[in-house]
Parts: sequence; C-alpha cells; structure tokens
Amino acid sequence: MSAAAGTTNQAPETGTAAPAAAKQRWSGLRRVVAQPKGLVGLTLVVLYLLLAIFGPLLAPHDPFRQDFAATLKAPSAAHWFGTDQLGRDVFSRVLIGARATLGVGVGGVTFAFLFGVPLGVLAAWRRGWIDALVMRVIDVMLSFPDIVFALAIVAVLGASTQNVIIAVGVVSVPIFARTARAVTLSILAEPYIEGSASLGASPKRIILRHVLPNISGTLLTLSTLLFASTLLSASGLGFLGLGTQPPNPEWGTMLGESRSYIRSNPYLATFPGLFLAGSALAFNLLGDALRTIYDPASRHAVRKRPWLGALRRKARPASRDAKPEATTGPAPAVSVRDLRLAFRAGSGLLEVVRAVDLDIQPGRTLAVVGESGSGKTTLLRAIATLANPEQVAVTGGTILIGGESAIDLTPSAMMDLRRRKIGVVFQDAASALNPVLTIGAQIAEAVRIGTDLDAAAVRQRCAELLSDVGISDPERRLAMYPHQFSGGMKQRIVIAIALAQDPQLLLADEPTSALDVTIQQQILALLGDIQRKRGMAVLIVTHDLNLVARFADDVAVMYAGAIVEHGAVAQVLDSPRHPYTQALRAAIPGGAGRRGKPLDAIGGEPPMVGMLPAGCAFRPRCQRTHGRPECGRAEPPAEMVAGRKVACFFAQEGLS
Amino acid sequence: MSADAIVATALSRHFVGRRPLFSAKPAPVARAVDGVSFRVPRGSCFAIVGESGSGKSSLARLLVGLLQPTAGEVVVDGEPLSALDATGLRRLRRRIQLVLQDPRASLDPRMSVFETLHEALAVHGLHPGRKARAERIATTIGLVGLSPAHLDRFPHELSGGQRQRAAIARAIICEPDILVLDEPVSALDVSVQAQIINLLMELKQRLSLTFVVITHDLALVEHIADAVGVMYLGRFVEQGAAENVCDAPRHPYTQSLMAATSHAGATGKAGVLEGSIPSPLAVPSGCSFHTRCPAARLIAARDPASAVATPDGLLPRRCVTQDPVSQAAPNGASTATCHFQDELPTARPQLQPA
Ligand SMILES: Nc1ncnc2c1ncn2[C@@H]1O[C@H](COP(=O)(O)OP(=O)(O)OP(=O)(O)O)[C@@H](O)[C@H]1O
Ligand SMILES: Nc1ncnc2c1ncn2[C@@H]1O[C@H](COP(=O)(O)OP(=O)(O)OP(=O)(O)O)[C@@H](O)[C@H]1O
Ligand code: SF4
Ligand code: SF4
Ligand SMILES: [Mg+2]
Ligand SMILES: [Mg+2]
Repeated sequence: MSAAAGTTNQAPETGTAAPAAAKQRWSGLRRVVAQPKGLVGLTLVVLYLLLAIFGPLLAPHDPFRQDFAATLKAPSAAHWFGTDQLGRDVFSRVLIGARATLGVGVGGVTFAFLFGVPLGVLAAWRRGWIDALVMRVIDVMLSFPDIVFALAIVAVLGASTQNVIIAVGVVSVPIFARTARAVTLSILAEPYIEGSASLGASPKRIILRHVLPNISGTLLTLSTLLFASTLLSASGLGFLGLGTQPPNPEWGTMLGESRSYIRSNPYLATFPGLFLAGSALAFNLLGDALRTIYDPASRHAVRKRPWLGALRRKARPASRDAKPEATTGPAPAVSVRDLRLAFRAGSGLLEVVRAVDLDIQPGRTLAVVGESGSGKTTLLRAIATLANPEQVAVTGGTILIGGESAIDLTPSAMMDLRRRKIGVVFQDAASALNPVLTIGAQIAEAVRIGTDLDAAAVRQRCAELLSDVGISDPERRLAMYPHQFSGGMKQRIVIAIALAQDPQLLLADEPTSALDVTIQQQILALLGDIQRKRGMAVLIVTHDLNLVARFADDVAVMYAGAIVEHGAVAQVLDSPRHPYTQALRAAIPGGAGRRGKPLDAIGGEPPMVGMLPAGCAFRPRCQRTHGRPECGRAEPPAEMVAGRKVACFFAQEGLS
Repeated sequence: MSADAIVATALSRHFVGRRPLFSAKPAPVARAVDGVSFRVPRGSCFAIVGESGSGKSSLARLLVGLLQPTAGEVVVDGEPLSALDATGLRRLRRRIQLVLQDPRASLDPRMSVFETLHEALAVHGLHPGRKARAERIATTIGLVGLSPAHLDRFPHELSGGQRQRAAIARAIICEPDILVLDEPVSALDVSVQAQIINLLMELKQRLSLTFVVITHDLALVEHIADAVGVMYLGRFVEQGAAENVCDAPRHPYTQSLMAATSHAGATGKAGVLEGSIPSPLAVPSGCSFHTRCPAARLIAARDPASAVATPDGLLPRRCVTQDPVSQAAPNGASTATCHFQDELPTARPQLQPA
C-alpha cells in the first residue's frame, strides 16, 4: 500500500443527502436523454404537446372560413400547406387539429390506464377466481383485431370524438391489465412486500406505497408506446368518417376527406399524414427509450452512455504507472494499484476507497475484512467492472485483471472481460436472483455462456452445479422459483451461477454469511478444489474471522476505505499489529464462560464517508494513540512491520 | 395475559407443488415445517438453529402469521392466530415484529430509510405529529448505530450491514413486545454484531422483550439464548435450556453441529457432517437424520446383528424403519428425538481451545 498521507481533507460539509434524493428523482429523465432515440423522441413529443396547446394561437387563418374562390390551391406563401376543397387553409387546420388528434390519444390511453391498471393489480393481488376471470376476458378481447373491435364499439355508440376515445381506450384495456398484472405479480414476489406486510401495513397501503411506485416505470413505458398505436387507431376511425365530425379538423378526419383528391391534389393528404406519422414515431421512440430503462430484462444491460462517457473519461486524471507484464512470474490474476473510488454526491465526490493496493496470484485467496461501511463492497464491485459509473467515479489508480485494464472499457469490452474471466457472488443473494424465472433457467443462462452444449447437457450441468453446492434433489428443484428456496439456498444458487462460467477470478461478497458451518465447509472445500484444479484466484469479502483463518492465504483489513493491515493470515490473525485488527479479534462472541455478558464492541462510531478525521482515520476510536500528536498530524503510511504491512505510526508497540 | 409470549403446538407447514402434467404421480409435497411444538416464556430468548434449508425461516413466518399453518396452532400472548381476522392480525403486528433474512431485499428500493421508518410509525398511528415522529426516528436510528445522515439514503446507497441495521430499526421503532429475528447479525461484521447483540440484550432486560432468534451461529446462541430448538428437516430434533443443549448435546445432529463450531482464532478443520440435508420433498423414512448420522454408523458397526444395509451404509434397523419419539434427558432440562440418545456420549465433543 502506498503512502496515503494527506489524502483525507474532505470538508465535512459534503454528503448532504437532499440533493441525492433529488438526483434520484431526475435520474430517469437523464437516462432518457442520454440515449439518442430518447432525446429525439422526447424533443418531438414536447414539440407536439406545445403544438396542441398553442396551435390555435399560431394559426394564420381562420380554419373554418370557407373561400370558394380559392379551393384546392397548391401550397403558396399565403397558404403554406395549400387550401382544401372548401378553400380552408390546410396549415391552420393542421395546427388546430393537433389538439383533437392528440387529445383522442391522451383520452384513449387515460381511459385504458384507469380501467386496465386497477383490473390487473386486482387480479394479481387477489389471484383465485378473480384472476382467472379477468384473464379469460382479456384473452377473448385480445383475440379481435384492434381496429375491428374499435369499429364495432363506435358503430354501437355512434360516431363522435367522445365515443372514439372510449373505443380506442377499451381496445387497450386488456394490454394494460395484462401488463399491470404481470409486473404486480413480480413485485409481490419481492421480499420487501412481505417486509411491510409483517410490519402490519394494510393491503391498500402496500398497493399504493409499494407496488404502484415500483411498477410505475413499466406502466409509463407502456402508456407511451400505446399512445402511438392509439393515435393511429383513432385516426383510422377518423379516416373512415367515424371520428371527430366535420367541420372540426382532426388529422385522421382530414386524411379521410382528402381521399377523393389524392390523385389531383396529393398535398392535401401529405401534410396531415406527415404530422400523424411524426407523432406516432415520436411517442414510439420515447417509449423505446423508457423501455430500455425500466424493462427488467434490459435493466442491467444498458445504463447510460455515449458522449457523457467520453467527457467523463477526459475529466479523469490519466492513470499513473500502469506497468503490465514487466515482471517474470505469472501475471497476477488481479493487480490493484493506488485505487481511489468516490461516490458522486450532489455536493461533489465522497471518497470511499482510498489508495488501495492489492495483488492476487492465480490459485490464491485474499480475504478482505473490515467494519460495515468501510468500502469492501464498493472495492469489489469496481474490480468486477460492475461499479455504476453514474454513482461511482474512479478518481485514481489502476485495476489489472489478468494483465488487462478493467477501467474505462467500452460496454462491450467490459461484458467480454466479465464473461471470460470474472465470476461474482453478490452480498444480497436474494436480490441477485430474478423472482420470475426458475432457478434452472438462471443457472442455464450462465452455463451457456462460452459453451455450445445441447439442451440436455446444459440441464445435466445445472443439476451437477446444484448438488455441488449441497442442494439435494436437484432435478426437481431446477424447476422451482427463487421464493421457494431458503435464504442459504439462494446464496448457494448464486455461488453455483458464478461458478458456472468457469471464472479465472472469483469475487465473492459475504458468500457464506447465511450458511451454517456444515454447508460453509462444503462450499469452501468446493472452492478450494476448483482453485487447485484450475488455478482460480479468489477475493472473498467477509466478516467471519474463523472463515478467514480456515480458508484464506492472505488477509487485508480495511478501515474507512483504506487497508490498515495486510499480510499472511497466520501472522495477521495470530498477532495483529494494528489496533483496529486487535479490536476486531476481541469482539468475536464465543466461549461458554462469557454467556450473557456484553461483547467488546469497538467504542465510538465508524466515520461517515467523506467526513474523515484529520490524521489517522482510526484515531477517535484508537486505544493506542493516548493523544499523541503524531496521530492527528498525518495519515500513517503502510510499512512493513513483523512480516506484514501496517498503517500505524506505533505498530512496533505490537500486541496490547 | 398468559405467561408465555408464544406457544406453538404441533405446528406444520407443507408446501404443495404443482402436479406434473400428464403424470399419474401425486403433487410433490415439501414438508418445510413438520410438527414443531415449543413455548417461549415472556422476557426470554428462544433460539432456533439448524442447517440451511431445515425450515427455520418458514417457522418464523408461521409464528408471525405471514404463513398459514397446514396443521397445528400458534398462540401469541394468549391469542390464537387462527382466531384473528385480517384487522386483528394487523393490530397484533405492532407487538410482534419480524426482521426478515435478506436485509436488502426486505427494504423498498424506492423509499429512503426515513420514509421506511416513518411508514412503520404511520401504519400503527404511533407518535402522531411530524416532530414527535422525527424525534422517535432519530433516537431509533441512533440505537442501531446509524447516523442521522443515513436517514435520507436509499437502500442501494447503504452498505450491507447498514441495511441490516435499518431493517432492525424498522422492527424496534414500534416498540414491539416480541421480536422474531431471522439471522439478525449474519450480515454484520463482528464489531457491529457485538453492538447489535448488546442492544438486543439491553432491550430484553429493560423492556422485558421476548426474542425468537434464528441463527446458524452457535456461539451467538450460547451467548444470548435461554432456550434453544435444533431443527432438522422441519422438526425439532432436540430442544431445551441453552446451556444443556450446547454443553451436553444428546442428539447426534446437535453433537455434530457443536463439533463443527470453532471458537475465536481456531484454525483447525473440525469434523463436519458429510453430505447435504435431504430435500423436504422426499423426507427419509424412520429417523430423518439416518442418511447422515455418524452415531448410527458406529452403533451399527458395534451391533451388526440388528443392522440393515442401505444405500447410505450399514445402519441400525430402528433408525431406518422407526420414527423416534422425543424423550426427556435424565435431568429433564432438554428433550431429544433419537432412539439411541442414552447410549451416546453427551460431553461436548472436540471443543477447540479458545
Ligand atoms: N450510492 C451511494 N452513495 C453514497 N454513499 C454510498 C453509496 N453506496 C454506498 N455508500 C456508502 O459507502 C460506504 C461503503 O459502502 P460499502 O457497501 O462498500 O461497505 P461495505 O464495506 O461493503 O460494508 P458491509 O460490510 O456493511 O457490506 C458506506 O458507508 C455506504 O453508506
Ligand atoms: N414457497 C415454498 N414452496 C416450496 N418449498 C418451499 C417454499 N418455501 C420454502 N420451501 C422449502 O422449505 C425448506 C425450508 O426453507 P426455509 O426457508 O424455512 O429454510 P431455513 O431453515 O430458513 O434455511 P436458511 O438457513 O438457508 O435460510 C427448503 O427446502 C425450501 O426449499
Ligand atoms: S496509534 Fe495513532 S496511527 Fe496508530 S492506529 Fe492509533 S491513531 Fe492511528
Ligand atoms: S435415531 Fe438413529 S439415525 Fe436418528 S439420530 Fe438417533 S442414531 Fe441417528
Ligand atoms: Mg458490503
Ligand atoms: Mg432462512
């Protein structure tokens, strides 16, 4: 670990969370405009909406005034879009028609939303016969072509704007209901729903506060996409003379009226047609962009990107001293040098990982231990190339994975690196699994990467992996969903998925925290086996010092984002030199003699991110400093003491 | 009010799967919890331990009424859960709180910590008024060792341990009488773990709170529990006073669990059970532990005359064919469910030097 002096003088006023909340709220919008299609779509949609609002004010002529002296005139300076068969100004009629046309779209989608969404949520919530009934009705409704169905409704209700809205609305109700049901079902399978139920929240509250906000993204996307098709259906009805009645202009109606003149005066149909097509396109683009953000299937794939990324890269200081493949031995599986990571907060950057150095050779295991919140997960995610660049900035240093830099890759290079080399086990296993897919499907997805096994062989491999991680009856259990497994089983399934890709580097964040010793030993034995056979390197984040003792070769102790003690397990755990490591050892429960007595928690609070005390970060809680001024002056550099690196000015004082 | 906070009688929960299409086989039944009985006196701490997949979380859900039992009954504070309607159950929820196993997943991703805690108060109409609620929230967040700056964070902006503490804060903010904690400290580093355990023990003493703690950490059990139930494949194979069960385990399963626990600093590999827990879809005949029981193998080797050959080796006939019943230990402080419990050595095996 390199000298870390003078790195921690962040002003304590950083880290107010109000801007963070605001950022969260606006992040949807930012992610829309970060995609070209989103930007174009959103701009067009806004323009169309402005047109609908201000169109009547802009119209140069009275759109209803007939002028039989000037019928069917071609476009000219006076009449930009020409005049129609009654001599009315087409441009003005198009402007005015925007309101009616878009109004029908809005009305239709609103109608469908208001009826479809409650129906779908109700079906998902109550299940049973209500669900069955709703689904049957939906199936029947969906079996008619849209426009035929809408025609039938208008034919029954009579031709008017209002009835067109109802017709196109009814046509879209089943789509809303079905989607709302599907997303509600998947949200209801999330553990936080159970969490608030166990809190005592009423069904109404669960739906309003937990389900609706979480499905709103999907529903917004759907509304936008359906808007385009609703608009077209409505215009179709208008074209057939069943919509807005003359003389009121509406783009579909105008198209219908121009039918007879399509040969002689094509411009009559062209302009309303262009506006109509443009609006459908605009909403479709916007919907597509929203879908990339909210669709669960693509949620992890696309995040942000193009030009913003390039700018960001430039803003970053050029990485120092990257010296790959200079040494003689095998390249380390991971090599991290002077890595600094910071969260982007409203008020600037909050440094969470400060000047971390580490190396793992193939076949070796490094354990990272440290207090909750010390930055272990953030470090691990960065090495896994999974840090979300919208939230985490690499402010310095290098990460080499098998000799390749893992910083600032293009998305495709990153995916490739991940796929070829890295397996990751996340800290919260349950949330890493997709609740609506069977675990067989999820393991198979990982198995298929990089192999061309046939379906039967893939299935066979999945079953093997399951029994490898100690889940019996694998054949039958492959067809089960995540919620049908226990917490520890989910954790093991995530391990199986990580191993399925045959990684060269396994990054495991608390992989066995939900497992009892028996299974833990089996999993560790399995990992050890794979390590020996294939030289896999393992970085394991854990708080279980017993596990470290049994399984790891080296250990790095993190405190407030920096590594304070780093060396071989036997040395660091048996005779810790840093006061923090010593305190960690003392806090382990155990020993029958101490039953019921308070445990030796480390006094004081861990520092907040970005608000480190001056000097040594551990000083406010340190038992060794005794107010010595050195500790307050500068951050202690890591130095070799008794065979390991320790960052403490008084490491020589040794065991307390 | 009864003296027992929780009484569970012959509690079972079987999950019935979907019957395979075009197959004469009956639908698979997973016996997640299978005939569990115990009582938790007010103000005491009951621990449930057992291997992963043994049915601990399912049992916890049954206790708070999140799952309906297929058989048996839970009585909380003298009120049978089956007699409560939805409103009654929701009212009861203030007094019995469950902290779920996965802290990240159990917090709504769109709610800040403040909103989550506020919701708990709002649901039960506690501490009315903006200021009173904000104060209560600030005190609670301090109790679990988070700082007020964490209140405006969303779950994804917290570390794993911080999320777990937020989940615990949500459970204790309504001042419940009974707390059911599913692996409350397994996501926490030792120092925060110590802080939370100390907090729980303090709450227990000060407010005479009743705890049910689910854990796989036997060191923790020894430290905080008064009584313990050891679960294997949906049943309690041994239960009784914590010190008796931990120091003198009588069931072979408990014995191997204890043997595998190593205390601080131990580096040796303790003898651990082989194989994995059978699927609750296919519970073995006789004693459900016979497929892995080390004691049964020893006994069969000693007395081959009354043993039978099975795919799992030579085993005593009784273990394979006969369901053992639970019997009290001579001192009456614990019960175990094993045919041969009196023939096994009871001393705590292979304790690692601390
Ligand atoms: N998106 C974010 N914005 C701001 N701060 C964050 C964000 N994500 C995490 N943090 C903070 O950064 C710190 C480090 O988090 P990290 O998840 O890396 O901790 P950890 O060492 O893995 O802890 P644990 O053992 O509890 O999982 C924590 O204090 C956390 O509150
Ligand atoms: N909804 C369900 N449908 C079918 N089987 C289930 C369901 N829920 C749980 N099970 C099964 O019941 C068994 C016990 O699960 P449970 O979650 O109670 O275990 P646990 O003891 O809490 O384990 P862990 O320590 O891993 O959390 C598991 O085999 C699990 O697969
Ligand atoms: S003695 Fe000083 S330098 Fe060493 S850990 Fe304590 S405060 Fe830091
Ligand atoms: S009954 Fe037999 S198999 Fe079961 S625990 Fe006792 S000795 Fe082992
Ligand atoms: Mg973490
Ligand atoms: Mg569980």
